[in-house]
Amino acid sequence: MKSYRKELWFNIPARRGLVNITPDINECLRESGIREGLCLVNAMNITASVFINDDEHGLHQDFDDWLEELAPHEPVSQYRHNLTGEDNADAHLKRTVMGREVVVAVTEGKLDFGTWEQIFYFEFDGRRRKHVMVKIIGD
Amino acid sequence: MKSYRKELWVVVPEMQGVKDLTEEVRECVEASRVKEGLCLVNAMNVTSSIFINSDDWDIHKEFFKWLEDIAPHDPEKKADTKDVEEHFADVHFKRTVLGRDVTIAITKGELDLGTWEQILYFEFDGKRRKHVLVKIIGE
Repeated sequence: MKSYRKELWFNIPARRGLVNITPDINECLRESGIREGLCLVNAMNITASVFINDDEHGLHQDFDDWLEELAPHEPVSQYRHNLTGEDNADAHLKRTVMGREVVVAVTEGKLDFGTWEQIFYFEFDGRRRKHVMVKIIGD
Repeated sequence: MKSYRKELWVVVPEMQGVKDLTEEVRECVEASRVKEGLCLVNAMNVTSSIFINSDDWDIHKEFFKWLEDIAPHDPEKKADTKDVEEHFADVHFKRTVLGRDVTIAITKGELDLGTWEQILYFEFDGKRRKHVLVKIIGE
């Protein structure tokens, strides 16, 4: 069995932002040489998400608006976590809704997706370097 | 290392509904002949969910009600995809809350589930054929 590991680094210039990382994951898969297996992609922190959905900008805006309704950033003081001096309690909650990771099947050397599936990194507490893990196992 | 792949096709006759896929996934594990490994089950689209809970329609109704509270259907909010089909944004949010996939341990040739764990397909944009991927790897 082969295994492959890579960290992808991001620095989103705003508090929140979303990046399509499918091309990066495809590149990792190509480098791994793995033909049949599983590919795990996860945020290596607790205030960002990796998730799968459609690559449509309006929908991404809709996700951001909806998450702001569920767990608004302000007022910052509404969260006990922020009494510690942090201002990112909403980021922990938002990322929990969107998810920490995805696991994608690898078949014949490719990510085994349905038609509209793309992998995204969604940052909720940006303006600093943060990383994503890619771990692939198989033959 | 062995690997096994199968697509399960589901048609939910209403816009929303649930199908218990546990037995079909068990059949996949048997067909794979894997004794120790991992089994990934994921929706191959962006408007339905695979998640684990109990197969109790009363609970499923509660899930749909709760999801409608936190991500209400809004006919004004359409998410245009690159395809001719349009999906309302709320179906993407609902599926995000319940999740795209589960990964289950395979131990001694069986799904390593707790007593009440069942693999459920939750449809939010039904009335058409949609597919679920089962990918198994192991020895």
